[in-house]
Amino acid sequence: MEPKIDGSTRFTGATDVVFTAMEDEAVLLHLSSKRYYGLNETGMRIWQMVQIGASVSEMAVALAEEYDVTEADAQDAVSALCRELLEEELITPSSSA
Amino acid sequence: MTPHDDQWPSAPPDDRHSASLSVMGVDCRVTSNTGDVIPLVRAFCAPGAGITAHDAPPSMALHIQVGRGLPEIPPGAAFRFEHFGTVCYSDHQSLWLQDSGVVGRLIGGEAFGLLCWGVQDEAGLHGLQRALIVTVIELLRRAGRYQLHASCVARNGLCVLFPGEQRSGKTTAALAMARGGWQCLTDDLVFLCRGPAPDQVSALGWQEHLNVGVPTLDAFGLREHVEGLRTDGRFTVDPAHAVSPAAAGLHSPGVIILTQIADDARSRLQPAKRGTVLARIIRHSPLVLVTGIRAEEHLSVLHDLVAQCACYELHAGRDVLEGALPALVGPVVEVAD
Repeated sequence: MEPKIDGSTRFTGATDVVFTAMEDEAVLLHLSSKRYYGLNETGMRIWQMVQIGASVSEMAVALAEEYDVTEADAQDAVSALCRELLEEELITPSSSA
Repeated sequence: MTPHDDQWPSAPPDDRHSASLSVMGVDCRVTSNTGDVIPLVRAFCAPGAGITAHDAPPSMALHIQVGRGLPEIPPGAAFRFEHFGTVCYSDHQSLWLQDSGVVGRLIGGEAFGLLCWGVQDEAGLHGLQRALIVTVIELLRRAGRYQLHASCVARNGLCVLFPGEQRSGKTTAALAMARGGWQCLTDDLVFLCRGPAPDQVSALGWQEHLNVGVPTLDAFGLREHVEGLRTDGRFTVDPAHAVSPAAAGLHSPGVIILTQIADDARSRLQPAKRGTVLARIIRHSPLVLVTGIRAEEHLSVLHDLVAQCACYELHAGRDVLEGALPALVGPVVEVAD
């Protein structure tokens, strides 16, 4: 069953994922699955906010300010990326604070 | 301890045939129960000999057991990849290799490899030679020498890397640059290591035979120097007839050029985003994706390599065969230097 993602959802990065950033792109290397993933500038920003424990809505507020988009659009983008990261087991939902 | 561990010694047995080699600046002790195989390994490692690196030499060990049967690969080991006939598996303890008449094990994080050569026939000899490729590359990785599929040319202490998969134009690029006065470290296999500064990366070249297709063979006048025909239809050529070898030792990468062959008369060279380059060269460093051993450091080395280089994409047109590449690359190298 897909985990529910809403504005209060927070995540934790998987411990066996290596992150390396290069200018405005980043690469995630999953040591267990042996797969690597590319993140664009927005994806990299979302990953960094996941690491500091930001909730989905907190991430959306930050992106809306930084990229001059609506919070609703930003939250859709955050939710979509987090869903992908969950499917690839790069992050897991953490318990709400 | 698995039921299979007793078939696989975890350290070099005390067999009397041995040799000490230096491979890419790493001290390698090779042992065997027979003296026949030592010269074979020495010849195999010759392209990597005579090189010193920045650090005190790390060490690795390889034992080759001949004619004592073939141990089993544990059924729990999962398939990882195939490298020109050598099939590789891994479990949480080891990397396992299998080829014609040969099985091997590289234990955990140790710089020790064991190859068992069951039957000393021609097929088994070729299997051993192929298995040695994967074995030596992985042992070198554990000793801090990280493989990258790339050609590499050098001049005045600075080198240019052309990473790429098979048939991407790496060898042609190296030959074209050599024609323009550059020295060739390798047309296929670069080893990266840290140094001289902690955040710097240096390159070492492993040069064996050149592998070229017909257009390159003819464009560079190499037909009379063909030594053999590969199963993939490409020709092997002694590099002594084609390129001026660079001095053995460390070189400093300053430019990375991702190459793809374009159906075009003229080549185009354009700046590439470093993130894109990093993702591409990860693809040409396959062993970082197989085991977690030193993967983080390997990725860090690739990151720092890209960070220290100017990065470009080359759409290689037919003019590469006519000598256009050195003039195209020259200006970007001058900026990087």
